[in-house]
Amino acid sequence: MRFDVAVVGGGSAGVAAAVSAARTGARVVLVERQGLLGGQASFALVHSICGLYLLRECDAAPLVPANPGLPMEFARRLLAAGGARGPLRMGRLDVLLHEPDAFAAVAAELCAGQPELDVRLHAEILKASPDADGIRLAVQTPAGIEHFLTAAVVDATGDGTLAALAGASWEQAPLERLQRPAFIFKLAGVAESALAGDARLRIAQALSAAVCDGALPATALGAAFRAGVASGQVWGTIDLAADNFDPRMPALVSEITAEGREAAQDIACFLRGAVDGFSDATVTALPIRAGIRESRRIAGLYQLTAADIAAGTDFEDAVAWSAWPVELREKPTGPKFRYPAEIRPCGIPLRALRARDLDRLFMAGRCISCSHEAQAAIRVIGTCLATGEAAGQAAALRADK
Amino acid sequence: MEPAAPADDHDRQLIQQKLCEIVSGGIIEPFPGFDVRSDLFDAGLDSLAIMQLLIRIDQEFGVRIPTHRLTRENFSTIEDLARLIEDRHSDPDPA
Repeated sequence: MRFDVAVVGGGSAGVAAAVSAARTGARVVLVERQGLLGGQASFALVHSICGLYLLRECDAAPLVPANPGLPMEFARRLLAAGGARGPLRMGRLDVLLHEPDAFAAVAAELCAGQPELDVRLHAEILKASPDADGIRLAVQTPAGIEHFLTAAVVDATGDGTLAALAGASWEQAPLERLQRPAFIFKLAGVAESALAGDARLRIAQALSAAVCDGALPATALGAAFRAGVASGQVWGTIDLAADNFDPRMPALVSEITAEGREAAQDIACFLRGAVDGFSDATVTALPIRAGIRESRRIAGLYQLTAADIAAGTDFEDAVAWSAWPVELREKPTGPKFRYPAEIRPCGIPLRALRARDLDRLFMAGRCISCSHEAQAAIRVIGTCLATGEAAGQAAALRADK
Repeated sequence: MEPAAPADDHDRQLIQQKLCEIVSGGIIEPFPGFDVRSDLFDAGLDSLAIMQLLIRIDQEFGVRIPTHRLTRENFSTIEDLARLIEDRHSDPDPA
Protein backbone atom coordinates (compact mmCIF):
# COMPACT_ATOMS: atom_id res chain seq x y z
CA MET A 1 0.00 0.00 0.00
CA ARG A 2 1.13 3.52 -0.74
CA PHE A 3 0.94 6.36 1.75
CA ASP A 4 2.29 9.88 1.72
CA VAL A 5 3.40 9.64 5.34
CA ALA A 6 3.95 6.72 7.70
CA VAL A 7 4.18 7.50 11.41
CA VAL A 8 5.67 4.74 13.52
CA GLY A 9 4.78 4.84 17.23
CA GLY A 10 1.31 5.85 18.45
CA GLY A 11 2.29 7.71 21.61
CA SER A 12 1.59 11.40 22.15
CA ALA A 13 4.17 12.43 19.50
CA GLY A 14 3.00 9.87 16.93
CA VAL A 15 -0.68 10.65 17.32
CA ALA A 16 0.01 14.38 16.97
CA ALA A 17 2.22 13.73 13.91
CA ALA A 18 -0.34 11.47 12.20
CA VAL A 19 -3.27 13.80 12.87
CA SER A 20 -1.43 16.96 11.79
CA ALA A 21 -0.13 15.29 8.62
CA ALA A 22 -3.64 14.01 7.78
CA ARG A 23 -5.11 17.47 8.37
CA THR A 24 -2.91 18.84 5.57
CA GLY A 25 -4.60 16.33 3.24
CA ALA A 26 -1.84 13.69 3.22
CA ARG A 27 -2.64 9.95 3.15
CA VAL A 28 -1.22 8.70 6.45
CA VAL A 29 -0.71 5.38 8.23
CA LEU A 30 -0.01 5.23 11.96
CA VAL A 31 1.68 2.06 13.22
CA GLU A 32 1.44 1.17 16.93
CA ARG A 33 2.66 -2.05 18.55
CA GLN A 34 0.28 -2.02 21.54
CA GLY A 35 -3.49 -2.41 21.35
CA LEU A 36 -4.12 1.22 22.25
CA LEU A 37 -2.82 4.69 21.44
CA GLY A 38 -1.21 7.15 23.84
CA GLY A 39 2.15 5.51 24.53
CA GLN A 40 3.67 6.30 27.91
CA ALA A 41 0.65 8.51 28.72
CA SER A 42 -1.67 5.52 28.46
CA PHE A 43 -0.05 2.09 28.77
CA ALA A 44 2.86 3.10 31.03
CA LEU A 45 0.34 5.00 33.24
CA VAL A 46 2.18 8.33 33.11
CA HIS A 47 -0.64 10.52 34.40
CA SER A 48 0.52 14.11 34.07
CA ILE A 49 1.11 16.24 31.01
CA CYS A 50 4.16 18.41 31.55
CA GLY A 51 5.48 21.12 29.27
CA LEU A 52 2.06 22.45 28.21
CA TYR A 53 2.60 25.90 29.74
CA LEU A 54 5.43 28.41 29.85
CA LEU A 55 7.31 28.77 33.15
CA ARG A 56 5.87 31.57 35.31
CA GLU A 57 7.63 34.14 37.51
CA CYS A 58 5.10 33.65 40.31
CA ASP A 59 1.76 32.03 41.11
CA ALA A 60 -0.11 35.21 40.16
CA ALA A 61 1.30 35.39 36.62
CA PRO A 62 -1.10 34.23 33.89
CA LEU A 63 -0.85 30.73 32.41
CA VAL A 64 0.40 30.85 28.83
CA PRO A 65 0.36 27.78 26.57
CA ALA A 66 3.83 26.89 25.27
CA ASN A 67 2.39 25.48 22.03
CA PRO A 68 -1.14 26.66 21.32
CA GLY A 69 -2.00 24.17 18.55
CA LEU A 70 -2.57 20.44 18.91
CA PRO A 71 -1.14 20.18 22.46
CA MET A 72 -3.82 22.54 23.78
CA GLU A 73 -6.51 20.95 21.63
CA PHE A 74 -5.56 17.63 23.25
CA ALA A 75 -5.72 19.22 26.73
CA ARG A 76 -9.13 20.79 26.03
CA ARG A 77 -10.55 17.49 24.78
CA LEU A 78 -9.25 15.67 27.85
CA LEU A 79 -10.78 18.25 30.19
CA ALA A 80 -14.09 18.20 28.31
CA ALA A 81 -14.23 14.40 28.65
CA GLY A 82 -13.63 14.62 32.42
CA GLY A 83 -10.31 12.85 31.88
CA ALA A 84 -8.07 15.56 33.31
CA ARG A 85 -7.73 17.80 36.34
CA GLY A 86 -5.95 21.14 36.54
CA PRO A 87 -3.63 22.56 35.45
CA LEU A 88 -2.20 22.31 38.97
CA ARG A 89 0.70 24.39 40.26
CA MET A 90 3.43 22.12 41.66
CA GLY A 91 6.28 24.19 43.01
CA ARG A 92 7.42 26.28 40.02
CA LEU A 93 5.69 24.08 37.45
CA ASP A 94 2.18 23.83 36.00
CA VAL A 95 0.98 20.33 35.23
CA LEU A 96 -2.25 18.90 33.81
CA LEU A 97 -3.15 15.64 35.58
CA HIS A 98 -4.83 13.11 33.32
CA GLU A 99 -6.38 9.67 33.39
CA PRO A 100 -4.40 7.29 31.13
CA ASP A 101 -7.54 5.59 29.73
CA ALA A 102 -8.95 9.01 28.83
CA PHE A 103 -5.68 9.91 27.09
CA ALA A 104 -5.98 6.77 24.95
CA ALA A 105 -9.62 7.62 24.18
CA VAL A 106 -8.84 11.21 23.12
CA ALA A 107 -5.95 9.94 20.95
CA ALA A 108 -8.31 7.44 19.27
CA GLU A 109 -11.01 10.10 18.81
CA LEU A 110 -8.55 12.52 17.16
CA CYS A 111 -7.38 9.80 14.77
CA ALA A 112 -10.92 8.65 14.00
CA GLY A 113 -11.75 12.23 12.97
CA GLN A 114 -9.27 12.01 10.07
CA PRO A 115 -10.61 10.00 7.09
CA GLU A 116 -7.16 10.14 5.45
CA LEU A 117 -5.54 8.39 8.42
CA ASP A 118 -5.29 4.59 8.77
CA VAL A 119 -4.39 3.30 12.23
CA ARG A 120 -2.71 -0.11 12.60
CA LEU A 121 -2.70 -1.36 16.19
CA HIS A 122 -0.84 -4.51 17.29
CA ALA A 123 1.57 -3.71 14.48
CA GLU A 124 5.34 -3.89 14.89
CA ILE A 125 7.82 -2.33 12.48
CA LEU A 126 10.19 -4.96 11.05
CA LYS A 127 12.05 -3.23 8.22
CA ALA A 128 12.58 0.24 6.81
CA SER A 129 14.42 0.41 3.48
CA PRO A 130 14.96 3.71 1.70
CA ASP A 131 15.15 3.56 -2.10
CA ALA A 132 14.63 5.91 -5.05
CA ASP A 133 10.80 5.77 -4.75
CA GLY A 134 10.56 6.43 -1.04
CA ILE A 135 10.85 4.35 2.08
CA ARG A 136 9.59 0.76 2.07
CA LEU A 137 8.28 -0.48 5.39
CA ALA A 138 7.47 -4.01 6.50
CA VAL A 139 5.09 -4.19 9.43
CA GLN A 140 4.15 -7.31 11.37
CA THR A 141 0.42 -7.43 12.13
CA PRO A 142 -1.66 -10.29 13.54
CA ALA A 143 -2.82 -10.91 9.93
CA GLY A 144 0.72 -11.24 8.58
CA ILE A 145 3.34 -8.88 7.21
CA GLU A 146 2.07 -5.71 5.51
CA HIS A 147 4.22 -3.67 3.15
CA PHE A 148 3.95 0.09 2.75
CA LEU A 149 5.67 2.46 0.38
CA THR A 150 5.77 5.99 1.79
CA ALA A 151 7.21 9.30 0.64
CA ALA A 152 8.11 10.39 4.17
CA VAL A 153 8.26 8.72 7.60
CA VAL A 154 8.10 10.04 11.15
CA ASP A 155 9.96 8.12 13.84
CA ALA A 156 7.79 8.58 16.93
CA THR A 157 8.83 5.27 18.46
CA GLY A 158 10.53 6.91 21.45
CA ASP A 159 13.31 4.36 21.09
CA GLY A 160 14.35 5.51 17.61
CA THR A 161 13.51 2.03 16.30
CA LEU A 162 12.49 3.18 12.82
CA ALA A 163 15.61 5.32 12.32
CA ALA A 164 17.86 2.47 13.47
CA LEU A 165 16.13 0.04 11.06
CA ALA A 166 16.53 2.56 8.22
CA GLY A 167 20.25 2.83 8.94
CA ALA A 168 20.23 6.41 10.22
CA SER A 169 22.81 7.47 12.83
CA TRP A 170 21.82 7.65 16.47
CA GLU A 171 23.40 7.80 19.88
CA GLN A 172 22.52 6.72 23.38
CA ALA A 173 23.91 7.94 26.69
CA PRO A 174 26.20 5.58 28.62
CA LEU A 175 24.05 3.22 30.69
CA GLU A 176 25.08 4.80 33.99
CA ARG A 177 23.78 8.17 32.81
CA LEU A 178 20.54 7.10 31.10
CA GLN A 179 17.40 8.52 32.72
CA ARG A 180 15.96 5.86 34.97
CA PRO A 181 12.72 4.10 34.05
CA ALA A 182 9.57 4.85 36.05
CA PHE A 183 7.16 2.20 37.23
CA ILE A 184 3.70 3.61 37.90
CA PHE A 185 0.73 1.88 39.54
CA LYS A 186 -2.75 2.93 40.54
CA LEU A 187 -4.32 2.47 43.96
CA ALA A 188 -8.04 2.77 44.63
CA GLY A 189 -9.93 2.93 47.91
CA VAL A 190 -7.58 5.50 49.45
CA ALA A 191 -9.07 7.95 51.98
CA GLU A 192 -9.20 11.62 50.92
CA SER A 193 -7.04 12.54 53.94
CA ALA A 194 -4.29 10.03 53.09
CA LEU A 195 -2.11 12.55 51.22
CA ALA A 196 -3.15 15.67 53.15
CA GLY A 197 -0.78 17.93 55.09
CA ASP A 198 2.50 16.27 56.01
CA ALA A 199 1.27 12.81 55.01
CA ARG A 200 3.90 12.50 52.28
CA LEU A 201 6.67 12.95 54.86
CA ARG A 202 5.12 10.31 57.10
CA ILE A 203 4.69 7.87 54.19
CA ALA A 204 8.34 8.45 53.27
CA GLN A 205 9.33 7.71 56.86
CA ALA A 206 7.21 4.54 57.08
CA LEU A 207 8.57 3.21 53.78
CA SER A 208 12.21 4.01 54.57
CA ALA A 209 11.93 2.35 58.00
CA ALA A 210 10.37 -0.72 56.36
CA VAL A 211 13.23 -0.88 53.82
CA CYS A 212 15.80 -0.57 56.67
CA ASP A 213 14.09 -3.37 58.57
CA GLY A 214 13.95 -5.60 55.50
CA ALA A 215 10.14 -5.57 55.41
CA LEU A 216 10.16 -3.98 51.93
CA PRO A 217 12.62 -4.36 49.04
CA ALA A 218 14.98 -1.46 48.28
CA THR A 219 12.87 -0.85 45.13
CA ALA A 220 10.29 0.77 47.42
CA LEU A 221 12.72 3.58 48.23
CA GLY A 222 11.59 6.70 46.52
CA ALA A 223 8.01 5.63 45.91
CA ALA A 224 6.09 8.88 45.46
CA PHE A 225 2.32 9.28 45.65
CA ARG A 226 -0.06 11.69 43.95
CA ALA A 227 -3.86 11.94 43.93
CA GLY A 228 -5.51 10.82 40.70
CA VAL A 229 -8.29 12.48 38.72
CA ALA A 230 -11.08 10.48 40.43
CA SER A 231 -11.61 10.50 44.19
CA GLY A 232 -10.05 7.66 46.16
CA GLN A 233 -7.47 7.07 43.46
CA VAL A 234 -3.77 7.55 44.08
CA TRP A 235 -0.84 7.03 41.72
CA GLY A 236 2.32 5.45 43.05
CA THR A 237 5.55 6.01 41.11
CA ILE A 238 8.82 4.17 41.65
CA ASP A 239 11.99 5.16 39.83
CA LEU A 240 13.42 1.72 39.29
CA ALA A 241 16.96 1.21 40.52
CA ALA A 242 18.28 -0.19 37.31
CA ASP A 243 22.06 -0.32 37.08
CA ASN A 244 23.22 -1.24 33.59
CA PHE A 245 19.63 -1.12 32.39
CA ASP A 246 19.39 -0.80 28.62
CA PRO A 247 15.88 -0.03 27.32
CA ARG A 248 16.81 -1.58 23.95
CA MET A 249 17.10 -5.01 25.55
CA PRO A 250 13.66 -6.68 25.80
CA ALA A 251 14.83 -9.13 28.47
CA LEU A 252 15.92 -6.24 30.72
CA VAL A 253 12.65 -4.33 30.15
CA SER A 254 10.71 -7.49 31.05
CA GLU A 255 12.85 -7.95 34.15
CA ILE A 256 12.32 -4.46 35.55
CA THR A 257 8.62 -4.56 34.66
CA ALA A 258 8.27 -7.79 36.67
CA GLU A 259 10.27 -6.21 39.51
CA GLY A 260 7.96 -3.18 39.46
CA ARG A 261 4.80 -5.30 39.50
CA GLU A 262 6.02 -7.18 42.55
CA ALA A 263 7.14 -4.00 44.34
CA ALA A 264 3.77 -2.31 43.68
CA GLN A 265 1.91 -5.14 45.42
CA ASP A 266 4.43 -5.20 48.30
CA ILE A 267 4.11 -1.45 48.79
CA ALA A 268 0.29 -1.58 48.67
CA CYS A 269 0.27 -4.40 51.21
CA PHE A 270 2.59 -2.46 53.51
CA LEU A 271 0.58 0.79 53.19
CA ARG A 272 -2.67 -1.05 54.03
CA GLY A 273 -1.23 -2.25 57.31
CA ALA A 274 0.93 0.69 58.35
CA VAL A 275 -0.26 4.04 57.00
CA ASP A 276 -3.40 6.01 57.87
CA GLY A 277 -5.92 6.29 55.05
CA PHE A 278 -4.61 3.26 53.09
CA SER A 279 -6.37 0.44 54.99
CA ASP A 280 -8.70 -0.30 52.03
CA ALA A 281 -6.21 0.50 49.26
CA THR A 282 -5.81 -2.01 46.44
CA VAL A 283 -3.73 -1.96 43.27
CA THR A 284 -6.20 -1.45 40.41
CA ALA A 285 -3.86 -0.77 37.49
CA LEU A 286 -0.35 -1.82 36.52
CA PRO A 287 1.50 -0.65 33.40
CA ILE A 288 1.86 -2.90 30.37
CA ARG A 289 5.54 -2.07 30.57
CA ALA A 290 7.73 0.18 32.68
CA GLY A 291 7.90 3.81 31.54
CA ILE A 292 11.09 4.42 29.57
CA ARG A 293 12.43 7.97 29.77
CA GLU A 294 15.39 7.77 27.42
CA SER A 295 17.01 5.48 24.87
CA ARG A 296 18.22 6.28 21.34
CA ARG A 297 18.45 9.89 20.14
CA ILE A 298 18.54 10.22 16.35
CA ALA A 299 21.17 12.40 14.69
CA GLY A 300 19.50 15.35 13.00
CA LEU A 301 20.60 18.38 11.00
CA TYR A 302 20.92 20.19 14.34
CA GLN A 303 21.46 18.79 17.83
CA LEU A 304 19.58 20.71 20.53
CA THR A 305 21.78 21.19 23.62
CA ALA A 306 21.40 21.90 27.34
CA ALA A 307 22.94 25.33 26.63
CA ASP A 308 20.06 26.06 24.22
CA ILE A 309 17.52 25.08 26.90
CA ALA A 310 19.30 27.14 29.57
CA ALA A 311 19.47 30.21 27.33
CA GLY A 312 15.97 29.85 25.84
CA THR A 313 17.44 29.95 22.34
CA ASP A 314 15.26 31.12 19.48
CA PHE A 315 15.88 29.62 16.04
CA GLU A 316 14.80 30.94 12.65
CA ASP A 317 13.31 27.53 11.91
CA ALA A 318 11.75 27.00 15.37
CA VAL A 319 8.62 24.85 14.93
CA ALA A 320 7.85 24.02 18.59
CA TRP A 321 8.69 25.35 22.04
CA SER A 322 10.26 23.50 24.96
CA ALA A 323 9.08 24.98 28.27
CA TRP A 324 10.06 22.30 30.81
CA PRO A 325 13.29 22.57 32.83
CA VAL A 326 16.03 19.96 32.43
CA GLU A 327 14.76 17.17 34.69
CA LEU A 328 17.58 14.72 35.28
CA ARG A 329 16.73 11.33 36.71
CA GLU A 330 20.08 9.65 36.27
CA LYS A 331 20.80 8.84 39.88
CA PRO A 332 18.99 6.91 42.62
CA THR A 333 18.59 10.17 44.54
CA GLY A 334 15.51 11.56 42.83
CA PRO A 335 15.02 14.15 40.11
CA LYS A 336 17.32 17.12 39.73
CA PHE A 337 15.74 20.12 38.05
CA ARG A 338 17.82 22.71 36.19
CA TYR A 339 15.82 25.81 35.40
CA PRO A 340 16.82 28.25 32.68
CA ALA A 341 18.50 31.42 33.96
CA GLU A 342 15.67 33.51 32.54
CA ILE A 343 12.11 32.40 32.11
CA ARG A 344 12.13 31.87 28.38
CA PRO A 345 11.12 28.79 26.39
CA CYS A 346 13.61 27.21 24.02
CA GLY A 347 12.79 26.93 20.35
CA ILE A 348 13.01 23.50 18.75
CA PRO A 349 14.29 23.95 15.20
CA LEU A 350 12.89 21.89 12.34
CA ARG A 351 16.48 20.73 11.77
CA ALA A 352 16.28 18.83 15.10
CA LEU A 353 13.28 16.92 13.70
CA ARG A 354 15.00 16.02 10.40
CA ALA A 355 17.43 13.12 10.19
CA ARG A 356 20.96 14.00 9.13
CA ASP A 357 21.40 10.88 7.04
CA LEU A 358 18.00 10.39 5.45
CA ASP A 359 16.09 13.15 3.73
CA ARG A 360 12.67 11.45 4.08
CA LEU A 361 13.02 10.70 7.80
CA PHE A 362 11.57 13.02 10.46
CA MET A 363 11.59 12.54 14.25
CA ALA A 364 9.12 13.46 16.96
CA GLY A 365 8.93 12.95 20.73
CA ARG A 366 11.78 11.86 22.95
CA CYS A 367 14.05 10.55 20.17
CA ILE A 368 14.56 13.86 18.32
CA SER A 369 18.06 15.20 17.71
CA CYS A 370 19.29 16.52 21.04
CA SER A 371 21.93 15.93 23.69
CA HIS A 372 21.35 13.67 26.69
CA GLU A 373 20.71 16.68 28.94
CA ALA A 374 18.45 18.54 26.50
CA GLN A 375 16.46 15.31 26.17
CA ALA A 376 15.70 15.59 29.89
CA ALA A 377 13.69 18.74 29.04
CA ILE A 378 12.08 17.87 25.69
CA ARG A 379 10.93 14.34 26.57
CA VAL A 380 7.78 15.46 28.44
CA ILE A 381 4.36 14.76 26.94
CA GLY A 382 3.34 18.38 26.23
CA THR A 383 6.52 18.88 24.20
CA CYS A 384 6.11 15.47 22.50
CA LEU A 385 2.67 16.59 21.28
CA ALA A 386 4.28 19.77 19.92
CA THR A 387 7.21 18.12 18.14
CA GLY A 388 4.74 15.54 16.82
CA GLU A 389 2.51 18.21 15.33
CA ALA A 390 5.48 19.96 13.71
CA ALA A 391 7.07 16.75 12.37
CA GLY A 392 3.74 15.58 10.92
CA GLN A 393 3.29 18.83 8.99
CA ALA A 394 6.89 18.82 7.78
CA ALA A 395 6.65 15.18 6.67
CA ALA A 396 3.43 15.92 4.74
CA LEU A 397 5.15 18.84 3.00
CA ARG A 398 8.12 16.64 2.10
CA ALA A 399 5.73 14.00 0.70
CA ASP A 400 4.03 16.63 -1.43
CA LYS A 401 7.31 17.45 -3.26
CA MET B 1 33.62 25.15 86.06
CA GLU B 2 32.53 25.58 82.44
CA PRO B 3 28.81 26.12 81.80
CA ALA B 4 27.08 23.28 79.93
CA ALA B 5 26.05 25.40 76.97
CA PRO B 6 29.33 25.44 75.00
CA ALA B 7 29.54 21.62 75.04
CA ASP B 8 25.94 21.45 73.75
CA ASP B 9 26.79 24.00 71.09
CA HIS B 10 29.75 21.89 70.09
CA ASP B 11 27.58 18.75 69.82
CA ARG B 12 25.03 20.65 67.79
CA GLN B 13 27.73 21.92 65.45
CA LEU B 14 29.02 18.40 64.97
CA ILE B 15 25.54 17.13 64.19
CA GLN B 16 24.94 19.97 61.75
CA GLN B 17 28.30 19.40 60.11
CA LYS B 18 27.58 15.68 59.67
CA LEU B 19 24.11 16.47 58.29
CA CYS B 20 25.61 18.91 55.79
CA GLU B 21 27.98 16.17 54.61
CA ILE B 22 25.09 13.71 54.29
CA VAL B 23 22.78 15.97 52.30
CA SER B 24 25.55 17.23 50.01
CA GLY B 25 26.68 13.66 49.36
CA GLY B 26 24.10 13.07 46.65
CA ILE B 27 20.81 13.62 48.50
CA ILE B 28 20.34 17.16 47.20
CA GLU B 29 22.38 19.49 45.02
CA PRO B 30 23.03 22.42 47.41
CA PHE B 31 22.65 25.75 45.63
CA PRO B 32 25.29 28.51 46.01
CA GLY B 33 25.07 29.97 49.51
CA PHE B 34 23.31 26.87 50.91
CA ASP B 35 23.71 26.74 54.71
CA VAL B 36 22.14 25.19 57.83
CA ARG B 37 19.19 27.56 57.57
CA SER B 38 18.43 27.02 53.87
CA ASP B 39 15.19 25.30 52.94
CA LEU B 40 15.93 21.70 51.97
CA PHE B 41 12.74 21.46 49.90
CA ASP B 42 13.88 24.46 47.84
CA ALA B 43 17.10 22.53 47.25
CA GLY B 44 15.16 19.64 45.74
CA LEU B 45 14.28 17.40 48.71
CA ASP B 46 11.62 15.11 47.23
CA SER B 47 10.11 11.81 48.45
CA LEU B 48 13.13 9.80 47.39
CA ALA B 49 15.59 12.22 48.96
CA ILE B 50 13.56 12.30 52.21
CA MET B 51 13.70 8.51 52.45
CA GLN B 52 17.42 8.42 51.85
CA LEU B 53 18.00 11.17 54.37
CA LEU B 54 15.96 9.33 57.03
CA ILE B 55 17.93 6.15 56.38
CA ARG B 56 21.27 7.99 56.68
CA ILE B 57 20.12 9.63 59.92
CA ASP B 58 19.24 6.17 61.24
CA GLN B 59 22.65 4.80 60.18
CA GLU B 60 24.80 7.73 61.31
CA PHE B 61 23.06 8.80 64.51
CA GLY B 62 21.12 5.66 65.45
CA VAL B 63 17.99 7.78 65.52
CA ARG B 64 14.52 7.25 64.13
CA ILE B 65 12.44 10.40 64.21
CA PRO B 66 9.03 9.71 65.73
CA THR B 67 6.10 10.09 63.34
CA HIS B 68 4.40 12.84 65.34
CA ARG B 69 7.53 15.02 65.14
CA LEU B 70 7.80 14.64 61.38
CA THR B 71 6.27 17.81 59.97
CA ARG B 72 7.30 20.12 57.20
CA GLU B 73 8.26 22.79 59.78
CA ASN B 74 10.48 20.37 61.73
CA PHE B 75 12.10 19.04 58.61
CA SER B 76 12.87 22.12 56.51
CA THR B 77 16.49 22.96 57.33
CA ILE B 78 19.69 21.32 58.62
CA GLU B 79 19.17 23.31 61.84
CA ASP B 80 15.67 21.77 62.28
CA LEU B 81 16.98 18.28 61.59
CA ALA B 82 19.85 18.70 64.08
CA ARG B 83 17.30 19.72 66.71
CA LEU B 84 15.19 16.62 66.03
CA ILE B 85 18.27 14.41 66.38
CA GLU B 86 19.40 16.15 69.59
CA ASP B 87 15.93 15.78 71.11
CA ARG B 88 15.91 12.14 70.17
CA HIS B 89 19.32 11.62 71.83
CA SER B 90 18.17 13.23 75.06
CA ASP B 91 14.76 11.51 75.01
CA PRO B 92 15.15 8.15 73.30
CA ASP B 93 11.63 7.08 74.15
CA PRO B 94 10.31 4.99 71.25
CA ALA B 95 7.37 6.54 69.43
